[in-house]
Amino acid sequence: MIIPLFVLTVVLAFAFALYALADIRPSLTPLVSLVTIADIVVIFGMFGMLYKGVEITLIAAVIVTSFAVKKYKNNIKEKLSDFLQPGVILFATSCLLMLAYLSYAQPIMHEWDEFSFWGISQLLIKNHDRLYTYYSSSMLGQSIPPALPVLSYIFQWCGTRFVEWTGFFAYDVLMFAAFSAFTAAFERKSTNSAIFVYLLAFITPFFFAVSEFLTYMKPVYITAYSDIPMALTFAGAVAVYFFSEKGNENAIIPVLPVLMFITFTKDMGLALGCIALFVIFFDMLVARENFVFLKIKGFFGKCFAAFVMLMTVGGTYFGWGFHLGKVLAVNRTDYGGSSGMGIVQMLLTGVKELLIGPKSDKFLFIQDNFIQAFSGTKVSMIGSGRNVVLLIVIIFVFAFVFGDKKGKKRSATMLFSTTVGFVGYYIFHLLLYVYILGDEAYNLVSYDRYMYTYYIPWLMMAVFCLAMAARDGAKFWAKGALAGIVCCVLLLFNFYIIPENIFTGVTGNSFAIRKDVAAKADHIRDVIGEDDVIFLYCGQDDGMRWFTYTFELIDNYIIPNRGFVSTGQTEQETKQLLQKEMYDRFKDYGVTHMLMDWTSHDFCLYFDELCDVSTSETGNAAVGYYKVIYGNNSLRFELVKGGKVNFD
Amino acid sequence: MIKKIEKIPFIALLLTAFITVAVVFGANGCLNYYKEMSARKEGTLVTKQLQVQDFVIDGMREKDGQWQTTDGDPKLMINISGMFTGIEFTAEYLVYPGDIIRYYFTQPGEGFSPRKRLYVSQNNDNPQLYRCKTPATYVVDIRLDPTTVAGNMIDFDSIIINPPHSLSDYLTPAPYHLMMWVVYSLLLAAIFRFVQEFFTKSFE
Repeated sequence: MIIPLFVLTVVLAFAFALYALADIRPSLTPLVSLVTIADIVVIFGMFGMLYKGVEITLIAAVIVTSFAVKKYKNNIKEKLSDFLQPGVILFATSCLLMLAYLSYAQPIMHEWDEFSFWGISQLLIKNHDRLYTYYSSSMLGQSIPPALPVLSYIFQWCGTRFVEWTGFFAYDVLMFAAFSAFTAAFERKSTNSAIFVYLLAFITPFFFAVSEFLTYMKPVYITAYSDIPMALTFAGAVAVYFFSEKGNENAIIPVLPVLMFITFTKDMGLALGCIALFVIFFDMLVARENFVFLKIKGFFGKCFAAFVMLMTVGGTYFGWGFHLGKVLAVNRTDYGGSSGMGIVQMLLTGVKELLIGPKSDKFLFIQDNFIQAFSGTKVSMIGSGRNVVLLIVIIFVFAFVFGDKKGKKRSATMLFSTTVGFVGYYIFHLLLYVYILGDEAYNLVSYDRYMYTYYIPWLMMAVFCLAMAARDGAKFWAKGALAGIVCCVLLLFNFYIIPENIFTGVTGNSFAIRKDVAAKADHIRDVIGEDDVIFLYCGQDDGMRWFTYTFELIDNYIIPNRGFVSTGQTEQETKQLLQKEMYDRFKDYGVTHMLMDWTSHDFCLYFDELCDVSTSETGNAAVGYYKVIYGNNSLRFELVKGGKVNFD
Repeated sequence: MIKKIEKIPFIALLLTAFITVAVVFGANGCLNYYKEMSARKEGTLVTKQLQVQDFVIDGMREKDGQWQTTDGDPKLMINISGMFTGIEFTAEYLVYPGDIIRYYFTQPGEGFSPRKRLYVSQNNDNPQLYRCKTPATYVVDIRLDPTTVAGNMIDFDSIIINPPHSLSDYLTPAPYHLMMWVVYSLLLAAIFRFVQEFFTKSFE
């Protein structure tokens, strides 16, 4: 608890320095400070200096802060009181409350992709003190950029072991920093408006996660999934520009580290970064008179600013690609997937197929589904995407009607540019489903998750415009609208939420599979050698238990069971064929041990005779760890350790 | 009058809001406690000890004095048709049970709804004790899903429905309540301030 608290303090201190030295609006500084620190550490990490990188960056942040304090020694009290705007106070308070809650409840990871990438990468980085590109492991997705796992690392870099809830805390700090940026229109005299915006931002992720938590617990603030933090950082990038008062580079340069962070988050971050700079560029065109960027004035200055942002996004993307090429010898642009296409090729082929044709059956089928899903698939508490867009447009209309002259222009432009962004985002995902995803594309797997990644920031951007109206326009009406929206969303939240289902309600039961697997892994951990290559047998596993084992036994290779396919005429023949198949596969992977998690009827029938202890005694409620003895074209399994496992 | 309102600082509004919400939460707890007490006095709410056999059983069979689940969605159902405050049972599971869930139905023949679902939680001091409590409500049927694992063995000891609550049960806040306390209080303070601005006609 001490280390995360210390890092949080440094982030806040550096935020103060950014305010004092670079004259960034106070409420924007927590986000800029956090992502700047994270970006620098990622770059250090890309050169194999992760641990040192954190130390150097934090020390540098402290030095910069002391310099700022020294410079304003005489009026430090004034400066501090100016710095403590409502956004900053709300940010610091919610971080502390969250820290207290997390260290009390100590939640653990328990969702699918936390074990395929988002959680396991945090564990790997912490265990090795290096980026995961530098060594091989059972983890999938080695080419995914590392901003979020590194963020988790920063908050526990010198801890003795990886703590899962610290990872959640790092994400929460990022999200709360974004919320703080959303409130940046308001200073202390308008605290109540800042509270409205902050609360709305806090509840909004739940507003969209509804379809999942009706059947599942959707944790939002205790998850390693990247979608919601990335979505909020995207809105944060726009906020950092939008709420800046200055008509010069001071409005643009703070955006750059945020854009860099988004692009470092996930491949999709490239698309979101581009949309962010598109939105910012259009707002610059209508709202910034006498704009000067690095001494270049007017329209060309704006173009140059957009160009610098584009270079940042592109540079980050290709920088990571360069790193991959150097360290892993793989090509970043190669998206792979079912058709083995690169991303540029995908866009070219896709746009051609969309506009000119001829369209394949898969394309037509998914296109139809995509159009239907917009009005048919539930993505939020108020229903489908169509309803969400309607709500967003209504907020924009409020902002337009209640805004002052400049506010009206900005709201209209923002509505236009974000809508274009949405259409692009939607088409981009259509192409992803058609060309990159395999058969799972036909039922639009994870559609809602991909979509709320845009709806959440879009809704917040509409709120930015309304916030401006509450400050500069028809204050009473705009503020009333803001309050009304918060109340409505809270009402819906109360209606839908089951207290046990959200992050405050987690109990041991929520982590059932995880705890079961952990208990079994702990039971045999002492007999597992460093170089063991383990074949995991788990009857009826959909992959979740295998993922969880790769997390629990992080230092070993875990080979999943992919099912046995050969069949012969008789049972005896089938048995011989299957045993031969297993032998070949084990030789291929160099399997040294077998872990029996859950046995099955088939396994008992075909393979039990190879084991010295029947798997019916070591599977299910017990666990068995067998050594594989290779014979002449045959296998034997010798039990190393096994037994019943208590889950209490 | 307006001069006085104008002078109230925001911190005072905030404090008032926090106290108000706490009082409302407390009053709500007391009211629920009173409801349960009066239902017990009238005899519409009685604590009962049941056997597994008293339930309509699905996806489970008796084996050596224990219960073995035959699929991943075993159910225990019972008709209550009256006031209901929760369920409490002691049981020993062979493997980790997964989510233990209770559903309740407020209309006869009503279908399953994820919104009428509550998780049964394990007691910290006695891991074999599982309980799920709710404020007294009228229900028709309840359904208990004791595990999500097929082939699990469950050794039920006793099942109690409508266990009595003490007043402190109703007043002890869960983390969720603490979070909502903060959320509601901030919102209320912000609205107070908005009203204050309305009276003084100065919107900031």
